[in-house]
Amino acid sequence: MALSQARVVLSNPRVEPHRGDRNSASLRGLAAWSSRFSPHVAVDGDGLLIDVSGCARAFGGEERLLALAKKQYAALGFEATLCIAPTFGCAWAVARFGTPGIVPEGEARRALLDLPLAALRITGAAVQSLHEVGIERIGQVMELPRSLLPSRFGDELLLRVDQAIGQALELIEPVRVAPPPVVSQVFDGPTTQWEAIAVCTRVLIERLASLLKEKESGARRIDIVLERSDLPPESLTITLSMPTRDARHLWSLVRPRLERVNLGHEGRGVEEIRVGASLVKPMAHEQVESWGDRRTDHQQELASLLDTLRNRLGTDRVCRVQVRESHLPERAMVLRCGPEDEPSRTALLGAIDRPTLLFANAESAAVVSLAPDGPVMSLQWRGGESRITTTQGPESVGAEWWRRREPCRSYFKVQDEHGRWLWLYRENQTSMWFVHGIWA
Amino acid sequence: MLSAVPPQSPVSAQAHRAVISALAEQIEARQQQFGHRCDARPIPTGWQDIDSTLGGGVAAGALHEWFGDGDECSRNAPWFPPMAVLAHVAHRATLGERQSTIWVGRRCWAYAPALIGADESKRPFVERSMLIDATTVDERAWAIDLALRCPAIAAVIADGTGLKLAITRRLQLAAASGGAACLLLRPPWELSELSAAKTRWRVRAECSENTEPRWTVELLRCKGVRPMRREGARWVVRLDDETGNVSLVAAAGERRDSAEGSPDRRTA
Repeated sequence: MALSQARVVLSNPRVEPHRGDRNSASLRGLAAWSSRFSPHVAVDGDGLLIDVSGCARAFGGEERLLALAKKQYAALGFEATLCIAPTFGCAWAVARFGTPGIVPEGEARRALLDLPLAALRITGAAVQSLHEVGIERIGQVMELPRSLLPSRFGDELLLRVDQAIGQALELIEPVRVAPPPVVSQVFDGPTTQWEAIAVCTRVLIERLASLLKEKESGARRIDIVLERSDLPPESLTITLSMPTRDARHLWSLVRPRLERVNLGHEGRGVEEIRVGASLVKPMAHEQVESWGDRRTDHQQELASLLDTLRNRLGTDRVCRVQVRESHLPERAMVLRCGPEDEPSRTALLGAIDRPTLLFANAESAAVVSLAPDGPVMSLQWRGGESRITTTQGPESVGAEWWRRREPCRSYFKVQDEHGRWLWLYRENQTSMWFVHGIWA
Repeated sequence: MLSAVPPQSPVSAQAHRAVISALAEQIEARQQQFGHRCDARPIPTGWQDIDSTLGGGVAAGALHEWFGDGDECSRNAPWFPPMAVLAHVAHRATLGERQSTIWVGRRCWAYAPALIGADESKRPFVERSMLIDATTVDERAWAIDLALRCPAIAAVIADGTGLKLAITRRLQLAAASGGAACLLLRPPWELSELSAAKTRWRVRAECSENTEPRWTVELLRCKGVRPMRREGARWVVRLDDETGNVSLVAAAGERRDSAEGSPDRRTA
């Protein structure tokens, strides 16, 4: 449809220029992703050619493979028209002009008979000249004497027909996905010398770093595999919060892990060390340091600090804070321990009065008050009793409506005789009292 | 070697001062030579009286100890770290070039919604906070030391329970070389412990007439600053209910004078 037509139909269409280069780039990306179905995937114009011969068995048959592919492409947001056929030409034609599905072995010829000429992947001029002599279907072309075709309609027509029915060879140029960089070192004989292994690992990390530098990328995950002669291979995985190719930093993370590895028994030991970057992210070449941006410098310094902390303490003990919009105080603050990929979302809860310290678990307390919602007189908590001088509240706090089961609470802000401000609440159903926080 | 001409005869105060400043310069040059950076500027707290006492603010690149409210004699008594005051100082520290804060130890993880309040400008402070769950003394000391040496860190707020003199020395050196402010929280009964901290503070709850929490902030020790008042440096700060900001009320000494005769547990 022309743009002018679209403007007539729609009052205010959104117009974006066609970016062919971006299209083909994303198609290449999709081809690389499709290598899960077959090792041979090629980009062909506006579609993909996947050589699934022999691969369908891994998925439990062609029907299952087709259904799975359809589902997975849909999950990516693509509405794919899929066809499995004995030849590339036949699959191409049926996917675009026929009823998509599976064309069984030996049925290629019959599947093509009723399809229009454009399904043969020939030029528009050839289609035009065939139309002039009243030929509109592929079946009609096949009925013509073969010897006449090249001289009247060119060599291409016969080649395409033969390719479609499997009588001529067709080669595709599969998209090659660069394998993740791996470097390895084999020892002359097995060794249990930690020093030798450490030096070797360090050299391998440096080699890996220079490999990554050539590819203008950085590692997000490093795998180190120690092949041991008498034990199963030991594998160390180190995840990084930012892509890096700094050999010194990587070594500082690997070293403490390497020190704890069981190298095997005397006389046997480690035979081979492999260091690979299993997750690689693009990372631009950095400028000369003195010109570098202070902000990004700081980010990298921080990332390496967090990596070191995570490496020793464990990932779950290094967290970021997130403030969420929730009425329940313990849900308003969330700890996130993952990598720093996604930007942190911090909600503004507005001017609400909340204690500066919130106990992880509300602590049970005994309270004497004048009336159910009246001022609190005294508080027994943590083995001590204190007189309450000021009471503010109640503030009713309930869970969101989709969490109806959780009881409502009435919060009181009270000041004890020492001047400390505590945050108490009464569970409305059970009338039990708890201390939840303190203004410290 | 440090060298200065010792005053042989009675000399004027001005000459004394010149000698002292020459020595100070030499010490500074020596420190820089050994990698102890002294270029960190103090962190202005925004509380004018305290800033002027400290000579510009809480020193960056140094160790500061904050003693919480509680019983100084009993080790089992509950105590609470002075989160509001500390968070205020840490937030002030992040306003400069360094923007990240590290909180070491579960005890000092402040409640983030209270830190932000309704203040949009405090959002980056919370977003750039990292909470480290280090439990044992060794783990905490290691994590604090590591964080202090990172040039991206503005302030390290840490649970300092049970840190010995040797460890505080190490942390003071780490802070001096990294340039971050280290705010250590210590329980009240550790007041008698020796430490290499540059300043020591005690924060105690103060009875307030309205609903705003108040604290007495007391500067117990400050290396390199002459004591200003006879009764020590004390101030009262208050937490604004609505904005979550901590501001100075008045010097506590003055308030005490006016409220003479009232029962005051702090004098006990």
